[in-house]
Amino acid sequence: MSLSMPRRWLAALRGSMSAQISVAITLVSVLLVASSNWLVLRMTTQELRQGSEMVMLANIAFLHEDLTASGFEIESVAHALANRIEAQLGSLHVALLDEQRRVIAASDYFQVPISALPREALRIGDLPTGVTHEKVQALQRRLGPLTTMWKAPDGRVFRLMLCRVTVPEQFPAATQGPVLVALAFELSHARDVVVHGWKVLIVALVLSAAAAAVIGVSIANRIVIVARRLGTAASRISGHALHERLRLDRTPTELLESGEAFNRMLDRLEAAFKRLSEFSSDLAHDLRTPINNLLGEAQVTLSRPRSAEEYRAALESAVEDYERISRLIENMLFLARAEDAQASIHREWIDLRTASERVRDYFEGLADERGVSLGCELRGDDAAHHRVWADKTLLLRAVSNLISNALRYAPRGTSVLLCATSHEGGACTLEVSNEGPAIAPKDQPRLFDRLFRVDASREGSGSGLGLAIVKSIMDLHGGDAAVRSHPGERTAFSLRFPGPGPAEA
Amino acid sequence: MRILIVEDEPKTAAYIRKGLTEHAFVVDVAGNGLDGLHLATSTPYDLIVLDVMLPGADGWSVLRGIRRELETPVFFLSARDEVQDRVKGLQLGADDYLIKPFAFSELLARIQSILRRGSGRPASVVRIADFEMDFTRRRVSRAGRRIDLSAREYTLLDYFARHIGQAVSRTLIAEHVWDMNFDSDTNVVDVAVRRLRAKLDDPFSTKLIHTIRGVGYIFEARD
Repeated sequence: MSLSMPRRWLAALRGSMSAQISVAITLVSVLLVASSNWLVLRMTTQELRQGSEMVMLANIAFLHEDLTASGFEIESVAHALANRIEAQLGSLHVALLDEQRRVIAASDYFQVPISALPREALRIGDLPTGVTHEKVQALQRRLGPLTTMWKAPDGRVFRLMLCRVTVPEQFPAATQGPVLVALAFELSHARDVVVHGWKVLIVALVLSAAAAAVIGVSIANRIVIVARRLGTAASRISGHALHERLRLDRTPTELLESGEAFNRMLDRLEAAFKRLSEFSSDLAHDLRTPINNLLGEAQVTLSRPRSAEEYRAALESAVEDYERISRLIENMLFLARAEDAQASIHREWIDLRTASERVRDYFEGLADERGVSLGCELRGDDAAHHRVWADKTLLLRAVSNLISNALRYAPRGTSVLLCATSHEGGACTLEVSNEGPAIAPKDQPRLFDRLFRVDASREGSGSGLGLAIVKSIMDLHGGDAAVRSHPGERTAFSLRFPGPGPAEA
Repeated sequence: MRILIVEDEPKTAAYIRKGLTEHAFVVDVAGNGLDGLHLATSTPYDLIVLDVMLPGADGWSVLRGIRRELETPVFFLSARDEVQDRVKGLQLGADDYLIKPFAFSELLARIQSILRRGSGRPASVVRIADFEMDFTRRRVSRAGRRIDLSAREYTLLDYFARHIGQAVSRTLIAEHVWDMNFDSDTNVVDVAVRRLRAKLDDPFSTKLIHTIRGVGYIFEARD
């Protein structure tokens, strides 16, 4: 089922930007060249024609004067008059005919057959006195074309004019009726110019079309080539080769932005991909440890008969590992679901005083055990209502994660502070701070990554997902989580909750 | 007490059956929705445990079928921790739910609390060994000596005293005592229990709060 050629071309044209651009440029340039050339040629042709017609009209006037002066002794003067004109102007041949179009006299080189002469003759009375461009144009407008063209067998071209001259009453020749004056003006030289002009036009057209096509294709290609580079780069890129980037030298400014955006996207993808691979290996490691424990303990237990006590101990130890795995999976699922854009979260106004009391109440015992005091503080421009626009469960979970972290690192005898600041417009910042060693600057950006632990060897206490969960909770709220830690200052984690949007308030 | 379990995963069904039988329940198991609905409507049960994801007819349609005829308490198990699922189950007339995977102790505790719901008001005074707790006057004593507790310690003990002889998990305790319904990865509960023990058990030879490793705690008199 092949398409016909033109249709296939059309389809190709529709699909190809460079083809469209070059075709457009070609069309425009051809049109320009053709129209300008055509105008020039047309004007030249007009000029030539008018020039020849003026010459012919002027000569008819002279002839008429001469005939009048000779008293219309046509038989005797016609030949001489015709030859005189021919002699003065080698390219103008004259014949005089009678009413029946029989030749009375003709110049020596008049070769036009009578049948080729114009059917309609001008009338001498219509002709203006004194020939000018304007008068000739006026005459043309009144009478139509004043001349006709005739091509001789030898290839020469003549412009022919026929004019009826009435013989005035007072002359004897008046009885023989009017005289027809036929003029043949050879155009060969002038015509050459015009014909040559057409040749020039055609050559110019071909050349300009070719040039335009080349220019069009090259311009289009420069545009398209970047897009193509995008494509080839994209096809080279895979999970293994995310380091590829587009080279943006020699890129047109219009496309620079797209190219840069593409490269930035690759940066982000590469970073995300790297995090993800690290994460999956960390995850495998985190799962492997408890599962190896389980397997090992079970195999050892089964290797020989044991007392009920021993079986019991093995199971109890197994339950702890299972709980660890199940917590890890639980948290992983939470994170995965939070990735799902705007997983359903139910936001409401939460009173900060009540919420912070609740959290403090929950952690107070633990803080006591560790010899750490736990304080809550409310600040804000909006003292009237200390409140935050958030999902209650998620808010408590985020703050709890931060506080249990802070309690883990706060030295005995220091304090952990929860400070909530409500801002105008319903936004709110919660900050949990503790004293203790500062977090190394190189670790700070990675703190919120999944399974990232400052101390890589430290197992146990946390799942390594606490801060990642905090961050994903803040993402769900459209807010953000940040850390501030310098030696000699309190380490502070802050959560910024934006207020309700205009649609929610 | 007769319980029906509708659950298609044989291992899960088997250990629930085993665990509940050991706690003196009579247990039937149905492996798919249609059998479950048939059993539920033809045999009188005190409680039905229903998995949502079932071959044949899913848990929701079984629940609807049961509710058309019976008021039997229904407890559903969902592998999907979606809020909509929970809400849907409760709207269809379920009495409670658990998210898989769950601890057996949790399931048992919830089943017991559903079954007790209909059995009138709880006693106003609880006594075991030399321990006495008066709920109306909010007084706790051992061997006649009054024990002073903080508000939080009292709430925790109140929870234990209402679940004598039942294993309760840390999650359940966090949920009922602090209204914290997520696992916050800390041993807040252990600390609280340790403090309560210091006042309630340490001075006495008969211990009331016992740790069940891997499960949680149980409140009963042991020497």
